[in-house]
Amino acid sequence: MGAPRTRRRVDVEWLCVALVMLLSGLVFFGWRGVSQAVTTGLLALAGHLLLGVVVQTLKLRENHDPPLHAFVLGLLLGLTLPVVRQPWMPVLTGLLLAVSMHLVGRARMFRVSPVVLVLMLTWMLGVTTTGVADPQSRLSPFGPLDAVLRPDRVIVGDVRKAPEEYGRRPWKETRSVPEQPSDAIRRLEPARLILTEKQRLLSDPNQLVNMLISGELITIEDILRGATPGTVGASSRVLVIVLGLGLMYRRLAHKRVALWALGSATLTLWMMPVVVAEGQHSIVIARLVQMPLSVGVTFTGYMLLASPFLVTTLILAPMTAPISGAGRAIYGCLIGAVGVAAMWAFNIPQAMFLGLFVAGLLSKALDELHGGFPGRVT
Amino acid sequence: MDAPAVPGLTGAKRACGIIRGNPVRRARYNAPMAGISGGMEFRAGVPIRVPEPPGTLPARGIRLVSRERPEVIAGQVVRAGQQLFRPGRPGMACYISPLMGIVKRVTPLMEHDGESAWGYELAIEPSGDRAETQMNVAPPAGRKLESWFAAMCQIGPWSDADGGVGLVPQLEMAKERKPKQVILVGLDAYPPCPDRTSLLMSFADDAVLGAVILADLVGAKRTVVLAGRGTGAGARLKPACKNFGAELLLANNVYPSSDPTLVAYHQAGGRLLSRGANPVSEGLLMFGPWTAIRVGRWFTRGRFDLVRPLMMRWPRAGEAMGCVYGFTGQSLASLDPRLGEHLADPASVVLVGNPMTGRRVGPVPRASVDEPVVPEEELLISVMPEVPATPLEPCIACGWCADVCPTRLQPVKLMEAALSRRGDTRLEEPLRWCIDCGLCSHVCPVGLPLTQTLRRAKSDAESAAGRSA
Repeated sequence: MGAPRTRRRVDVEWLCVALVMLLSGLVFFGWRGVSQAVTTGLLALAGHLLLGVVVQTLKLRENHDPPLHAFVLGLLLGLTLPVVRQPWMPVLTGLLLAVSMHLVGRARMFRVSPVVLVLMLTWMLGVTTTGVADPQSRLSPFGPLDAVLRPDRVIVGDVRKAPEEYGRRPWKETRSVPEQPSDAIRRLEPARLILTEKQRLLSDPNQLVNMLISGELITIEDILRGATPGTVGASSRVLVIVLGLGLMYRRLAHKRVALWALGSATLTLWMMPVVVAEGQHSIVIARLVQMPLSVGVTFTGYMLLASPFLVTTLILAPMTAPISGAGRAIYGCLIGAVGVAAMWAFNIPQAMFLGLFVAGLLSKALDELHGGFPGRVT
Repeated sequence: MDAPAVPGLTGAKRACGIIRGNPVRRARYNAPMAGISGGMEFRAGVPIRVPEPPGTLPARGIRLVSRERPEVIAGQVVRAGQQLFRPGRPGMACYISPLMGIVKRVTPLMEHDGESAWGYELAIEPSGDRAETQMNVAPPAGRKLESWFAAMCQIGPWSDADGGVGLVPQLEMAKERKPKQVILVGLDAYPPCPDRTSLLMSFADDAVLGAVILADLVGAKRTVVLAGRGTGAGARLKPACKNFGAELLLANNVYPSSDPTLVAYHQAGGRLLSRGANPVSEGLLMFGPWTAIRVGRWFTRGRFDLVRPLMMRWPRAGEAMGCVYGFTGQSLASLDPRLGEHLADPASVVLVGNPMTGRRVGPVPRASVDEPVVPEEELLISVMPEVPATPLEPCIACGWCADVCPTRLQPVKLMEAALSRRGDTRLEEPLRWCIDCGLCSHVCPVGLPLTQTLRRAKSDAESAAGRSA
């Protein structure tokens, strides 16, 4: 005999997803990445329990979210953030999440994921975003670490032990040398670099190829593998795709959302304005059609793969998706369109979460777009 | 419906817990069942061999309930086949006594106001040890619908479940409007308990013959036997269908595809039939296997069956269904000692019907006057395993209830509307399309009482409509 899935079982399934992501974080960011995510999760749990007691004591409202749910959301939040320098960041984000859970969520009036709300807040604070154009500013005590563990130091290494200069060789070819012992290599986050260099890339058809060959841009293989700085648990795009497909199989995610998000993100990206020369404006697609097809495809694919588009669409979006089919399509469109437009406008990869925030705000209203049998009576 | 245990699910689907929201669009579903969303695929159970009805059965007391005033009084001796309740209006079937006995009591069932009776309960004590299971009454000669209709009305009751309204109301409408198709719905109401498939496989010739007779009577051009694919019923029914000129249609049994609304949707070219509407209005005459078998056996043997088969679904996983025969109105506990034990046990959950839509009966002490009795419309009695109670939580908007709804409703939204606007007639239209399949409650991860609330809202809306009329 099987058993129907209870909410606890649903939370356990999400926990499994988070644990797989945590494992990925352990590989590429070592114990620092894992401890940051776990701390966020535990602080979210503690804050949720504490606030729950306060809320129930004051009889403000009933606390329906189980502790496991709070822990899972905390883990997912910790895994979506990059490895940060400040030890208080996981504590702050965990506590912020605990407060957010009492305000928004899929069972609340505002169906915005609390994880997304906290991501937006940290984006506004600017401490976990990777959109600052000057790479030197990454060395400041604030801001995320632009580093990933070397292949011979995965799991056991300390991601903070990275040299000052940025490496250009593919991840697999980097090894720690005795004269310069270090656990990690410093790399620029690919999404940030491509956003910073977008005008140059679209002006010269050879620029993208040159940057990829020279190692200035991280190779697509490394992006798919996950050897890039950025989110702790979702740096491996292959893993995120596999987890997303798994969530769809388990009916926790919806392929309609993902497909519409992909379509709208691509279209929006192509429609973004670009300055070709001084005073000359065009749109991305107009520049791409003048380039070889392979360059156009690589640019579009690289932009979406390198950005947090996949983790937004496949892992975070299902949590606040509307009930109706048409609503899910519009929700997906909003995530893709608003996210890419914000990312393009602010030059910050993490602005992609804005799309999810806006879509979440409208999610409840999108439920109404539901056509049933009664609507089709002949 | 009380929280039912969940039946087994197929392979990977079992691990999945919830099945495809859109199963009929997948290629492996055959064309006649394509075109609707929702539904759920359960692991189909193994059909059992249903024996022929025995010649006699131990005589037990029967208890019948009807909206009509009884034709008999307390203390009166009744014989087998005697009319007990007069038909409510011309064109309805009467209620005959299945055995000889004495009317023990006639009890009016009072409305809530305590002033008027909504129905009557009649108890009959048998006068012998055994009772005949068949009645010597020849089927009408000829192929005239009127004469068959009159004869059928005299030997009721007939199941109300056929086509959602019963066979007799459909035949009555067929007198005015000739249906194009006659459909013997052999898809199981609940695939893990293949009650209809078992009957079809055990009485293939009688079932197909019964369907063909009814098609001939109403002048339908097409006789369709709709059976579950992969159950073995196809091979068993093929020769019978070939002999009698019926069309065999095998369809994947996606729950609740056997519901009249969904059968009508597929067979009437996408036209819809709301809950409780007469299928003949869409050119269809629908009935279940036991009705067809009864007609077929009546025609070939010249004797009319007074008993009905009942399948038992036991709580232990993998245990085969049981089958017994009983008279309508006979105590359920008297059918099987095991069932009697479960009915008396407060920890047991016994449902009349399937685990998704069944109505809970018991627990009642043995030989109580409130003992549940053999129903007129159900073929299945489900004894459920114990289910831990789940606390109520708010909706987490997973959308599974809308995904599985076979009539594309948004159950949770309807529930919210029903709770906030109880008795509002504006809810009546969407609620008409709720077929009470129970899937929304089944898949809801927070255990919201969706089916139960919609059912209550429906009855509230009907009452409100009745009052305004």
